[in-house]
Amino acid sequence: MTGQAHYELGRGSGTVGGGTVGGGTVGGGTVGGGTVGGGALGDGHARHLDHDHRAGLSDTVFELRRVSVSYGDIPAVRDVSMDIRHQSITALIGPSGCGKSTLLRCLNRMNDLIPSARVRGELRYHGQDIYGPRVDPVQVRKAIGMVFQKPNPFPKSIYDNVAFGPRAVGMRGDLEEIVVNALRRAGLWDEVAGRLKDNAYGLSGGQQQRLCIARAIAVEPEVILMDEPCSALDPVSTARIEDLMRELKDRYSIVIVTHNMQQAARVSDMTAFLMISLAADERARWGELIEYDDTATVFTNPSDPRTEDYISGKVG
Amino acid sequence: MTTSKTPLAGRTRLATAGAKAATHGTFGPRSRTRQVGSVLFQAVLLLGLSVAVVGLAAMITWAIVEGAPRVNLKLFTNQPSPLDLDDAGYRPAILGSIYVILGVLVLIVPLGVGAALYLEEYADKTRWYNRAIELNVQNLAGVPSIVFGILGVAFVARGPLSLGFIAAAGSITVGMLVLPTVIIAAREAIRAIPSSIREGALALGATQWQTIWRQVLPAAVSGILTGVILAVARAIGEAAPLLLLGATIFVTWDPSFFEGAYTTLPVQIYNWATRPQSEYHELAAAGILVMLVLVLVMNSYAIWLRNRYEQRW
Amino acid sequence: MPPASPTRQGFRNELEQLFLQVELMGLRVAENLDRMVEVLWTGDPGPVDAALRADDQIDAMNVSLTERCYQLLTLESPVAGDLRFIVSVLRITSELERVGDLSLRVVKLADEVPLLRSTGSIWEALRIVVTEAVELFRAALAAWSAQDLERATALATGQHSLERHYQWLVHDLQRYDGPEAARVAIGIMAAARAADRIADHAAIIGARLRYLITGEAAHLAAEVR
Repeated sequence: MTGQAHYELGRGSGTVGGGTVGGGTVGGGTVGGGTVGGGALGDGHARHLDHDHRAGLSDTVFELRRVSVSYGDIPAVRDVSMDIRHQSITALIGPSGCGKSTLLRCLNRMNDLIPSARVRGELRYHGQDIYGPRVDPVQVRKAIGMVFQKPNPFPKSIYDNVAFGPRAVGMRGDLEEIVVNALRRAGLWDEVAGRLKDNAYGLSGGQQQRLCIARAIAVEPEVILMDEPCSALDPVSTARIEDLMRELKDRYSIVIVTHNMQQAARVSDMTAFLMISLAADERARWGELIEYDDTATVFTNPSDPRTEDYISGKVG
Repeated sequence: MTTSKTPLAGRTRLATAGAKAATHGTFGPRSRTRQVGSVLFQAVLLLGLSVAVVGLAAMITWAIVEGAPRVNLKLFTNQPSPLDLDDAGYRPAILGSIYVILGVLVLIVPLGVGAALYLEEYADKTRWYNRAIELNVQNLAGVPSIVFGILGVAFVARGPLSLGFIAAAGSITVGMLVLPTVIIAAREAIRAIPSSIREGALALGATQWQTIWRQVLPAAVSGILTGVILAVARAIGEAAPLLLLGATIFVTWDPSFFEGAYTTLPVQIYNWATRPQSEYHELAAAGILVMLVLVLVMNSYAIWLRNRYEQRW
Repeated sequence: MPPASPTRQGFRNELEQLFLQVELMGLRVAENLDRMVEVLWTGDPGPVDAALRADDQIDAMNVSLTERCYQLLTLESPVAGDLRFIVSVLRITSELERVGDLSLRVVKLADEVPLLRSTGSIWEALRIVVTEAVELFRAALAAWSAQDLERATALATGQHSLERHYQWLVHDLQRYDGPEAARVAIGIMAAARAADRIADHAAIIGARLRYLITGEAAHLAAEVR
């Protein structure tokens, strides 16, 4: 939609992305006929993404250009370039150690918490580089929420868990209403309606994870990042959360890291496959983006043989 | 297992093994040596424990026997009078102890928790000065209390602060003494909080301070409180540094915090215990009894608190 | 790239087995086609029993392979190439089974052969059509064994002379008015239609193989006249 790119990140004044993304219109600019991975990167990089056959283009939420992350001198991820679309679910898959979680945590500057982490390249959120010098990471994290692998509710009541975010960021409006709405949208309201004062630790694993999702939603982010949200849950809870993701897609953009390829296939619209590359002397290893495309294409007819090998389980 | 066994021999072996299992079971009772060994080990542990318990029991029994007759209301309300030993009381000492402890509390809670927060939440552990600070805090916990007394005399009563030999100076000195205990306990409590809680809070758009103030500290309160109570329990019993800092021998008036001489309970007990007269010994024993009860109650409270509010992560 | 570790070896073996089984089934069908040709040329009813038995085996193989494919789909969650492979196997075995049935239909004409042979040039035309159909089928089998994209494409899209020969045969047959014309016409048409269908199935096999190899959605459609 037009004109939505008015996100104010940063301490100073100034609107963000006043038209950098396709001039704020749908179908123009970077995404249409888009080259993912910046085309010119050549062999071994993400292939050219052909959007022509897709009905209805969406805004780009994130533009990553040659993003690299290292911990001190040790590289973790190199040269990732991709566009993440609004109101879609993007899955990051790949073997252990390929840097999917690292990449995910770049998107909301959670890597700042690790002193040795260095992020290079451009990471634009609605056109603004979130690693820019005048950008406040706290504001970044309000707009880009995160749900973690192991459900981590606070040792407080259910109400206080959901209310913490809005209180902390100073959201206006009726707190109770905000909490109830968030719980509703997370599909948890029916189960906790009468017992908001109960301690959150009394909930089951699946409920706790949905509570974490409600908590993240309560601050009204635009993006929700999920780092293997279902890996600690049983299949029924997993299915419920996957259904929830599909519902949330209408309002939020979701990026999910998952080990479970069937989950990526079921849930996501776009899938990015990262793979471990070794240095020539086999000392250093880092992750690279191999392929980024429609989920259906990746899982029925991927263009890179390495992708095919991974998803068929030939290489772990 | 050789492969040259004939099938028949193999089958026979299996059959006998099966028969044995049916009648004997796979598991048998423990061997004698193991039994004796394990009992012996338990006995040794029990011995060690009983030495400590018996020692403590002996001390408490002596205190009760000697001091119980003297425990009455006058003990708490009267001034120590060299003339009328029957009416002597610990009043100034108790008040002095209270003032000193209050001073200690005011000092150690913000400083201790603040230091622990700095070390755990803000300090970059790779920097040398932070590591140096950490090391020193650990060391300070083991420094003898008399050393703190000397330091107190040099820097607090005289020297830069020049407060004189007053209760405030005693508070500061004893506060420094028990501060490492608080810092260490607070650090443990803060460290026990898993980083997932902090990450969860930060990921919602809270600042670091909000995360600390609203999530970390509330969750660490029980651990911090336990540390504070243990520190206070220790502080109450400190005599050596206060002796140096003017907790003078004979105070027969109600002390004040910021001026004048003062005394504390352990010092008073010490004074009376060293007198030749047996009445003084009775008084001392009574004082000891009071102190023991106080310390016991405080420690028990600390343990109860810790158990009650312990967070299982 | 890290060295490919032999993961999912059991699954790999299953797929390998499936491939060989399809080859085997194809061979059986080819054998029955040979029997069909022999019966047609010689009129000797000898091979008929053998053909019937072989057809039973072919049907049984179809059933077991189909079941095996469904199991693999459920248990192994195949994706991409593996999924296309299994789905192709499902479709190709059904094509093979129909070719088997068609050859049986012709084999059952053994008794009519002396009469049909008497038609002279029409009989010759039939022989050509049948021979071409069998060749096309063999080409399909060869393409499968080699997993060869070129051969598959040729089968799927090629125009074959069989078309023309079939049209000529029908044309000539319509003009025939020798003795027992109706019986002759019915017999010849049965055989010719069977051969035509066999050729169609061979082309469909080529098309399925092409999709298996390229994975392109455009190749999903089987060859359509």
